[in-house]
Amino acid sequence: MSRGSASPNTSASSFRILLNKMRTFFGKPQNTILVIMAIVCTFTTIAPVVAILKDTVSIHVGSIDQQLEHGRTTGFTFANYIDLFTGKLAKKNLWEPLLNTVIMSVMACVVSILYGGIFAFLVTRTNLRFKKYLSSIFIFPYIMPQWTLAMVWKNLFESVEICGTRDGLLAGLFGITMPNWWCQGMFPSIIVLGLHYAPFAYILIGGIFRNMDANLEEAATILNTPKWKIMTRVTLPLIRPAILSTILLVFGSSMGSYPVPHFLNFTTLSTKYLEMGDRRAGEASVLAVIMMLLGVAVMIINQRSLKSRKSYTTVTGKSGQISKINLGKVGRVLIGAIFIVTTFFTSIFPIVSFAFETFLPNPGDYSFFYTWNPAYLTSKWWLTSENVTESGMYGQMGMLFNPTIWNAYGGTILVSLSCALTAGTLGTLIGYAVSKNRRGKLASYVNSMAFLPYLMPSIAVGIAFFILLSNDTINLFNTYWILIIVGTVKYIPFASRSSLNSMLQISGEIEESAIMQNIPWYKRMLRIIIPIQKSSIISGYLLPFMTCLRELSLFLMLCTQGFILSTTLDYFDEMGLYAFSSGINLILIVTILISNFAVNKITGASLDEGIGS
Amino acid sequence: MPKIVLTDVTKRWDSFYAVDHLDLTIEDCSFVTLLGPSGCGKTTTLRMIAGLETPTSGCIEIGDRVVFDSEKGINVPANKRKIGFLFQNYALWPNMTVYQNIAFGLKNLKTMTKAQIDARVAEVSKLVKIEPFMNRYPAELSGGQQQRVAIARTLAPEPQVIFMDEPLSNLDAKLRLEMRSELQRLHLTTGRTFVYVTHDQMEAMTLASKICLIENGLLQQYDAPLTVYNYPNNLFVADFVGNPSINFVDAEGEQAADGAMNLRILGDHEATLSFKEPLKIEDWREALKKKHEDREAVLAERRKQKKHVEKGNKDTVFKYPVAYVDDVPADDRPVTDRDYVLGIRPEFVKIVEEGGIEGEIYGAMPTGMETTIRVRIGNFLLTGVVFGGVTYAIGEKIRLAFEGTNIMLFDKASGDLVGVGSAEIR
Repeated sequence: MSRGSASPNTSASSFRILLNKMRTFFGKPQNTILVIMAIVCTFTTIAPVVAILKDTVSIHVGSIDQQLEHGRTTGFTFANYIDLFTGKLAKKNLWEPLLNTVIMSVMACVVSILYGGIFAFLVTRTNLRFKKYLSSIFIFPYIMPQWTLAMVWKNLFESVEICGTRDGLLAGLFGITMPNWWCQGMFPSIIVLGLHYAPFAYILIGGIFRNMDANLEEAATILNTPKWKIMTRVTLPLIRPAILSTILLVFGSSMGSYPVPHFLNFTTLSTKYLEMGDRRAGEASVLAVIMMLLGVAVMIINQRSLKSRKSYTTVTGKSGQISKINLGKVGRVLIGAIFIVTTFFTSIFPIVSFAFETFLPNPGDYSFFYTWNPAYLTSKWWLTSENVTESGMYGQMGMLFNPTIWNAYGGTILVSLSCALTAGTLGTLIGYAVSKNRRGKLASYVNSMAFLPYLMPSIAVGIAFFILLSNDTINLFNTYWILIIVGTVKYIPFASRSSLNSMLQISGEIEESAIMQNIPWYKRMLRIIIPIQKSSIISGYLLPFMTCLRELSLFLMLCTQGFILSTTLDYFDEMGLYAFSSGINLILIVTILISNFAVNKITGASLDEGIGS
Repeated sequence: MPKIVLTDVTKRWDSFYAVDHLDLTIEDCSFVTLLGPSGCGKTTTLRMIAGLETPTSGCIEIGDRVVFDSEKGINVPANKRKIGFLFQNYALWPNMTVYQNIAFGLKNLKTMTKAQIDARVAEVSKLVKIEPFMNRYPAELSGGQQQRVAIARTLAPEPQVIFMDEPLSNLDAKLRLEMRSELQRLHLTTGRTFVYVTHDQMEAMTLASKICLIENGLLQQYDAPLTVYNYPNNLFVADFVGNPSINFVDAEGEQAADGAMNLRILGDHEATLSFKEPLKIEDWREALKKKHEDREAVLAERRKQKKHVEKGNKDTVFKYPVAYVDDVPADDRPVTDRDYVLGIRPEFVKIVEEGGIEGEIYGAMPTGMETTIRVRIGNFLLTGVVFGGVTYAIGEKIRLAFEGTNIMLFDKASGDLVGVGSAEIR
C-alpha cells in the first residue's frame, strides 16, 4: 500500500479521486434519482413561482397597470402591488376576499377535524354499530368532486324567493325557505369544505388510533387517572401529529378551492382571481402569490410543530388488543343511526340527487313528487340524439350522444391516467430515494421541493403554469401536455408521501441482503421492494388518478371548456343546463367508484390506505 | 485466500466516533468475533467492511483488493465485494418462498443453469436442515427456521467471507445454544472466513478463533479467547469477559526486593502476589509512560490535521465495579503508584479450612453442576464458584484462599494489566 505517499502527478490523481468519488456516489441508485429529481423539482416548483412573481411586476398591455404607468409597455412596475394594497378597490379586491379565505379555511379545518376525528374515535375505539358500512361510506365525499356537496346544498336549500335562482328540493316540496346566509356565502362553504375533507381527518387520525399502543392508555388507567385526563394528557397529544397533518391538508386545499365558493356565491381569493380577468391580470397574480405565501406559512408552522413530533414516532402497531369503550346497547345503535343519516346526505344523497336532477323537465320542477305522474319526468337530457333548439337544450344533444361530453370524458381519462402513471412512478422513486438517505441535505431538499406544490393552492399552481407555459415562446395552452405536466407536479406529493411512509416501514436490511447477493437495482425494486409494499404504492397511483379525474381548480385556467369533463361541467352549469352539470357529476362519480372498486378487487389496495398518509 | 485488513479506519457522526482509528487484520479461514457492549461500534465495523456503511476515513482491503480508501476515493460497492452477510433480523424477503429466497441470488449469477441452481439450493438447505419447508413463506416459519433459511441464503452463492451481525440474538436460549454449535460446525465444513458480531461474551468465547473486543470505538484487545480471558489487557476486558464476572479488589503496596508484590487488601489483610513471569515494576512503569507519550504524540498529530474533529464521546479509564454489602462513599483520594487492583476470577476463590481470609456466606446459588457463592468479608463481597452439587447455609462461617497462578494485578491509574501470578494471604 502506498497510501499517503505524495503522487508525482497530483492533478491527474486528484482528478482520479474525483472520478472515483463520483462513481461511488452515482453507484447508488438513490443518489442518481435524487440528483435527477432535484433538478426536475427545482424546475417544476421554483420556475412557476418565479414566473408568477415576475408577472406581478411586469406590465400587461391593455390592463390597469399599463394605465397606471401612463401607457408604458415595457419594464417593471410595482403598480399592481400599490393599486391592490392601497387603491380604491383594495377592500373589495383584497382585504375582504383575504379575510373570507382565511376564515373559511380555518373553519373548514375545525369542521373536518371535529367531524372526522369524532368519527375516527367512534370507529376505532368504541363498539359502534354498523362500523363496516359507515367506514366505507364515510370517505365518499372525498372521492366525489369537490363541488358535489356544494351542488347538493344548492339543490336542497335554494329558493326563488330568497336567492332568486330556482326552487331547491326543500322549497319545491315543502315550501320551506331557508335564510340567505344558510343558502349561500360563508356558512355553506365552510360546511361543504369541512365535510369534503373530513375523510382526511378520519383516515389520518383513525390510522393513529388504530395503531396506537393501547398499553399507553391502559398504563394511565391502571394509575387510576380519570378518563377525561387520559384523553387530554395521553390520547390527544398522541394524535396531535395527525391533527396537524389534517390542518395542513385541509387549510391548503380549502384556500385554493375554486368550485365550492364559486357555486355557493362566496368571494374568496380564488374566485376573485378569476373575476379580475385580463383587466387586472397583474393584480390577480399578486393574489396568487398571497395564496402561495399562506400555504407556505401553514407548512412552516406545521414543520415547527413536527419537530417535537419525533418524540412519538415510536407509536407502533404492536399491541393488537385495544379495549373498546362501551357505548351501551342503545347508544351504539343510536349513534350509528345518526351517522347513517348524516352519511346518507353526504354520500348517497348526492348520487341519487344528481341522478334525479337529470330526469327533471326543468330545473327545480319537482311536480313529479306532488302528482306521481311520470309525465313530469323526462329522459330528454340523456337521450336527445339530434340537434334541437327548443325544450331548453340550447342546441345540445342528449348526454349519451353529446360529442362534447364524450370527447371531454376521453380527455379526462387520458389526463388522469397519464398523471397517475407519471406522478405515481416519480413519487414512488422519490419516496424510495428519500427513505434511503433520510438525513441527507439533498434528500430533504427533494422531499420538500416535491411536497411544496401540495401546499400551493390548486388555482395558484394552475395560474403559475399558465404564465410559464402559455406565452409567446412556449404555448401549450389547451393541450393535454400542459394538463399532464401540471397534474403530475401537483400530485407527486400524494405518491411520494405514501411511498416514503411505506418505504420507511421496510427495514433497510431487506434491501441490503439483496445488495449483498449482487442483485441489480431494478430487480430489487421490482421483485422485493414493490411487492412488499404493493398496496400503498398502488394507492400512490390511485390517489392522483381519482383526484385528477375530478380536478377543476387546477385545470380551470389551462384549457377551454370542452377539453376535459370538469371544465365542461362548469361550462354547462354557467349556461344554466343544470341537468347536464348534474349528469356529468354522476358520470364522474360512477367512474371513480367503479375504478376504486376495480382496483380494490384486483390488487387489494384501497383509497383510504393512502389518503394523505 | 481472502485476508481482510483494516488500516486506520474511522467512522464518526459529527463528533461522535463510532469507530476510532481501528487497525485490524482478519486472517483467512478464521472465525473472528467482534465483541463489545451495545453501541461500541462493532456492528458499524462489520457494515463498513461489508460496504453497507461508508467509513469517514481509512483503508479497507479484502484479499488483495482495496475496497475502500478515503484518500483515493475508492469505494467498491457492497455487491462487488463478494461477501455473504447474515442480518440480525434475518431480512428474509417476505414475498418469496424459502426456495425463492435462496435461489434469487443464484438466478442472478447467470452462469448457473436451472438444474445447477436447484442442486445448489438443495445442497445448502440440506446443510442447515430446512428441506421440508421449501415452499413455505418466511411468515410461516419459526424463528429458528427463519434463521436457518437466512444462513442457507447467505451460503448459497459460496461467498469466501461470511459476516454475521448478532445472528442468534433473536432466538430463545435453548435454540441459541443449538445454533451456536451448528455455526461452529458450519465454519469447519465450509472452510470460509467468518466474522461475527455479538455482545454476548459467552458466544464470543465459545465460537471464536480470535476475539476482537471493542469499547467506545477503540480496539481493546485482539487475541484468542483464552488469552483474552486469562491475560486481559485492562480492567474493562477483564470485567467484560467471564461469567460470573471477575472480582475486583482494591490493593495498596509495593514491590519487595524478591520481586513479589506486598499488598494490603480487603481492609486489613496482607497479601503477597508472586508474578508468574519475573517483572520489575519500575520497568513496567517506564514502558507505560512511553506508551502514553506515544499515544499523546499520535493524538497531537491528528489534531493538527485540517479535518480533525475532537472526539465527543471521550475515552475514560474504566470504572471497575467493587462489590460491597453496604455502599461506601466514593474514594476521592488521589491515585498514586502504590494503588493497584487485584482481579480474581470466581473459580480461583476457594473455600479451604486453612484459608487466610475469614468470611461468611452471603448468598449461594446451586445449579447442580456448580454453585455460585457470595462471600462477605467485612463490608466486601467476593463471588466464587464451587464445582459439584454443594450447598451452603447463608451466614455460615468459612475460610477463603486464592488459588492458582492467574490472579491479575492491574495498575489503578491506567487500568492496564501489570501481570499475573499467585496470591498468598499472610
